[in-house]
Parts: sequence; structure tokens; C-alpha cells
Amino acid sequence: MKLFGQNSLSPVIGKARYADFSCAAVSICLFLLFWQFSSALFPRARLIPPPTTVIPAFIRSFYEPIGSETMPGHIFRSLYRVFLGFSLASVTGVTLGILSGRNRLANAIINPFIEILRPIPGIAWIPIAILWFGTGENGKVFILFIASFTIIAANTHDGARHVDPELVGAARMMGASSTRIFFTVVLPCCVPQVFTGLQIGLTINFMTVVAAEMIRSRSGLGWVVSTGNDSGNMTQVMVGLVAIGIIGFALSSLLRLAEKRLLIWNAN
Amino acid sequence: MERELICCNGLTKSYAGRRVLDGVSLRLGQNEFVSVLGPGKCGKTTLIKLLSGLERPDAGEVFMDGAAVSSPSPKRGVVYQNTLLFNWLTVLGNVRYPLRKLGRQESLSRAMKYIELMGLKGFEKAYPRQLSGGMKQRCGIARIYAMKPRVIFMDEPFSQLDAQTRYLMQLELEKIFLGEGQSVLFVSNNIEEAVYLSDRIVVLSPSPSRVVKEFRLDLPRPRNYLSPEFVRIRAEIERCLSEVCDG
Repeated sequence: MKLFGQNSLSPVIGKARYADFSCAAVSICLFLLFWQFSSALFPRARLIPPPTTVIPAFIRSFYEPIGSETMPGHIFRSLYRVFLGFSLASVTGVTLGILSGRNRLANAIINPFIEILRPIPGIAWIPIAILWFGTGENGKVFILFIASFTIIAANTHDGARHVDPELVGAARMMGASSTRIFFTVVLPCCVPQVFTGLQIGLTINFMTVVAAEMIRSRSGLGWVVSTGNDSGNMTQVMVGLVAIGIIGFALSSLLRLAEKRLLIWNAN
Repeated sequence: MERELICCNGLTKSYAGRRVLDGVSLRLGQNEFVSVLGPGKCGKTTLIKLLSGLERPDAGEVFMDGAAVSSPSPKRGVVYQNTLLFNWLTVLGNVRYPLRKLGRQESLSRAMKYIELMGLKGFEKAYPRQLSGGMKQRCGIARIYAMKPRVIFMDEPFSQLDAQTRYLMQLELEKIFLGEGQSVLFVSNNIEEAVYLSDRIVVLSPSPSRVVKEFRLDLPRPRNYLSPEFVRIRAEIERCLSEVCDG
């Protein structure tokens, strides 16, 4: 009884990816060359130290402390703050989003707050954070939390709201209880949008932590930049910027990798 | 007809003031294959939603084994036009979804049996997006057959397939039907397909729909698309449908 032939799933070929990677490497090298020469040629570019100064300084920062910490220490400080604020924001945002997306009354209550809080940038909360929590860690976590939980909630809400009712009907037809439907149909349907929210939230959090550290802090990547500025040390400013760029890139790549693993069923 | 399994009387349903069904009455016997034919949007999908209990009629009632139907149940399986597979589950996961109450081993072996039967062996670990339209539809059918419902409602399951795949699916469906002895209510807009598969064909009018005619087919199986009886009854139903559409 075999009317249909069997063919295997098409294999994924990684050659194009390798080409992309080499192109990116070449273009970065070209940019470094351009930076090096322009800082020798143009007066305005001369205000910034060239790569031959910044790159060794960047490497040095990993064993010679800037302020009280070496670079890994600063990175750890910043990431730890992001981790705390982002975790709080994720749990709160996803919960609120699912509540408001699945329940009309909950939506009427929650949604206005989300929409009004959403456009307020995290750093605008700094005065209130200082008033409530002082200048310590808690204030920063609060700022990070309030900067990103709304966007996570809004995205989750969208996902939860647009779960196909026919899919829920199909699950009922197959005898699933409402609890089972929630966990096996509603939640998986939301996951792609939740990830979009988390992605945006994490980016916002990383930008916010740097900004918050530039204002009130004794460590962290933002602090490296702002104290460099205070002491007129442009090399330190550049080292800070390079670190922020690399870590930010690494963070979003990590999340994208997690998404790919988790959402293997979702096209692209 | 053998023992009566599903019976509905005077089913009426409107959406947003527009009447879709206007007093549809049907009967489906044990081990019977009945097709419902009708022009374009004549409320065939609505009829399946009411019969399976996914939606309630405005008037009229549905009975299964003499008991009123008020909510969906695994006793009444539905194969959907757009498959409605769970994209986040593999083929195996989808087919096992309704089998949770069975033991681990039993659900696995039963799911594998129907996956194999529908020619999906080797694709158990594939996700729906990796499958072709015909394979998805076969997965949807395997899922429902594995559930072993008393009756299966099929809502134009082959309408989105190409002609060749459609033909193969018809053969496959007949084999399974004869082998498993399930009752099937098959909604279609393809006369040939209905004549090939059905014991009985019910023709609906355009919406608001009601039953206009019923045909009993006593041709021996497997049927020959080109036999004189097949062609004759096909023409008769075609005439009936075009009259219905004009009148």
C-alpha cells in the first residue's frame, strides 16, 4: 500500500554563509584602513585616535583596569544589570501580554497603561529611580525594567490576540482540555511575537544600561565612556564604544540563535 | 442504510443576518460514505461545523446515536480544507496529539501505523512547513484516523491539491474507508470525486441552503471512472447541480 514515493528532506547547504562571512571580514578591514588613513589626513578625524591606538588599548583594557575594574569586569557589571532588568521585564511583559491578549476585560484594564508607558524612554525615569531607589543597583534595574516591559507586553499581546480560533477548535475536536489548549496551542502560537518583543526589549535594555551608567555609576561600559570623556581621554571613549558595539552585537546574535533553535518549525 | 449514526433536523444558521443554512436535514448510517455536493459558497463548511459540534445551530438539532450534540468531541473527527495542523509539532507530534489518553507505547505504535498507511513514513520528524500540500493533507487525515472517531467529517480535503495528487488521494481514501469501515461525511465541489467515493450523494442548493436531492449509488467498488453507469450518474448529478444553480 505505497502510492507515494519517499524522498528525503532537502539538505541545508552552508556555502553561501561562508561567502557572506568573508565579505563582512573584508569590509571591516577596509573600514579600519580608511579610519587609520583619514585620522592622519583630515583635521576633524584627527580628534579621534586611530585603530592602531584603539585596538591595543582595547586589548590592554582586558588586563589593566580602567577605574576599579578591567574590561571583563565592566562588561559583567553592565550585563548583570541588563540580565536583572530584562528578566523582570520579560516575565512581567509576557504575563501581561497574554492576559490582555486573551481576555477582553484584562485588555481594557492593562492596555492604556502599556500604551502610555511605552513611548517614555527609560532614561526619562532616572529622576524617579534616584528618588525611590537612590543611586545604587536597584534604581538601574528599575529603569531597565520600565524601559522594556511595555514593548514585550505589546508584542506578546499581538501574538496572543491573533491565535487562530480554528486551531483552537481543532484541538477541542481532538479532545484537548482548555488547560492543554492553552499550553499546546495558544502559547506556541504566541512564541514568534514574544521573541520579536524580547529581541526589541533586549536591544532597548542594552542601550538604556549604557545611558544610565553614563549618568550615575561607578562601573560598567557606560561609565568607561563617560569617565573617558570627563578626563579628555578619547582613547578610553573609543575603547568603551568598541566594547559596547561588540557586546550588543553578541547579545542579539545569542537571542537570534535561541530563536532559531526554539522556532525550528517556523518558516525562516 | 445500516444503523443510523448521525442525524440532523432542520439545521438553520445565519452569520451577521445572512442566512447560510435553511433547514438542512441529513442522515448518516454506520459505515456509510455520504458526500454533500453544492455550488460555491453554499454553507458546506458551516454544515460540518454544526454537525461536529464546533458551532451551535440557530434552529434545528444534531443527534449522534440518539444523543444531542452540543460540543466537539473526539468521537467526531474533522479533516479540514486547510489542514489546521499544528506547525510547532512534527508529523508524529501532530498524529499523536489526540492520543494522549493512550499509553506512551500504544499511542506511538498507533500513530506510526497511520503515518505509514498514509505514505508519510520517513517524515515523522518533519515539521508541516517542510511538507508539500498533499503530504500535509495526508498528515491531517492520519491524525483523524489514528483518533479512531465514530464518524469523520471531511471538508473539501483535496480541493487545494493538484489533479494527480488528488486522484491518488481518492484511491487512498477509498482503501482506508473500506479497510477501517468508518462512517464518512465528505463535503466536496467535485462531482467525479463524490461519485467515485460515495454510497450516497446529497445535493444542496445555493445559500440559504437546503437539501434538494439525494442520489443512491450502488456501483460496485472499486469504481471505474469510465464505466457507463458511472458516466450516467455523473451526468445526472451534473444536470441536477446546474438546475439548482440556475433556479
